[in-house]
Amino acid sequence: MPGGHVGYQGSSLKINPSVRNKGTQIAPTGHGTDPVRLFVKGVFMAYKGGKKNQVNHTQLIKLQDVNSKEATQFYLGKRLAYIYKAQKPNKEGSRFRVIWGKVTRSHGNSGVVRAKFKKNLPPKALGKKVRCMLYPSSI
Amino acid sequence: MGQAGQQRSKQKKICNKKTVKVKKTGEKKTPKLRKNIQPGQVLILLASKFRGRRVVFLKQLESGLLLVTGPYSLNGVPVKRVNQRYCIATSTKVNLGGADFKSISDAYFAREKAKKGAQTQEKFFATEAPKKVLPQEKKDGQKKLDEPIVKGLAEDMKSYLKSRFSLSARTFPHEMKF
Repeated sequence: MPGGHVGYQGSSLKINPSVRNKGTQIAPTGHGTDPVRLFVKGVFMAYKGGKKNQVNHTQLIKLQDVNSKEATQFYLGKRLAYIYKAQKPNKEGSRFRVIWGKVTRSHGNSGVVRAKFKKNLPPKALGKKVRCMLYPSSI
Repeated sequence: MGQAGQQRSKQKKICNKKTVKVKKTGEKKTPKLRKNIQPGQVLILLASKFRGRRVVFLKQLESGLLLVTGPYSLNGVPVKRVNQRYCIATSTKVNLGGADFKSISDAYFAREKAKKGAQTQEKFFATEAPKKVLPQEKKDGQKKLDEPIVKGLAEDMKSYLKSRFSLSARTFPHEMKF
């Protein structure tokens, strides 16, 4: 499952959790290594809930420049990644960790989207960036 | 005062007992190919080492995966299998120029089965795993496959395939036409 790849490819920031060179920068290849962004930026706005309730298993995500319900149609089913840094590096030397999720449905009329993650997002993620990948693609 | 009336009085469905076709074990259907993916189409890879690369679609394999090639000399993408869901089909099409990829199937990509023979002393104490090098015949096959495709490409198409797709500050995929 290509779930490991979240990073900008070719960037000097070693974001890619499955990069094999431990702790070193990604060496530039001969075919162009400018950073490539293949995800839409989003923000983890809130957990689902009303005035008195909070439903922790569903998160509300605001995707950049998605401002209407029709616009969210494209993003339904797309995978989401919440990336955070940890102290201890993993086997491949990366300190970045990911919580994967997906866009489940739209929320309201202004382009906010509901999402479910494999593990509920921690509250420290509120207001933090979330990446909406372009896969699974249907175009 | 529990359930709403609508829930309780929901009609039970009476199933028609249709004759069910007994599936033969191991019978698999090749997943449907998206309508807009034709041989020669340029696809954008969304994940894996080659994300952002524009590649040429050759054919759909039996397993449902798409067979694509860079071509290798242009963008470093070899003959590769890709899942439909991990690529965006652009409206650009390339003339395949009679490239021969009939012989390439899922078996071409199968891993070499390690021979479970007698574990020799050397193997057991070997500290380094033998390096997996792509056999020369596969490298030659790659070149042979790519030749007719690359020949038929205009200069701008070549640089198009060399370039990588990326979202920038003001581009949003739900507004883009690929």
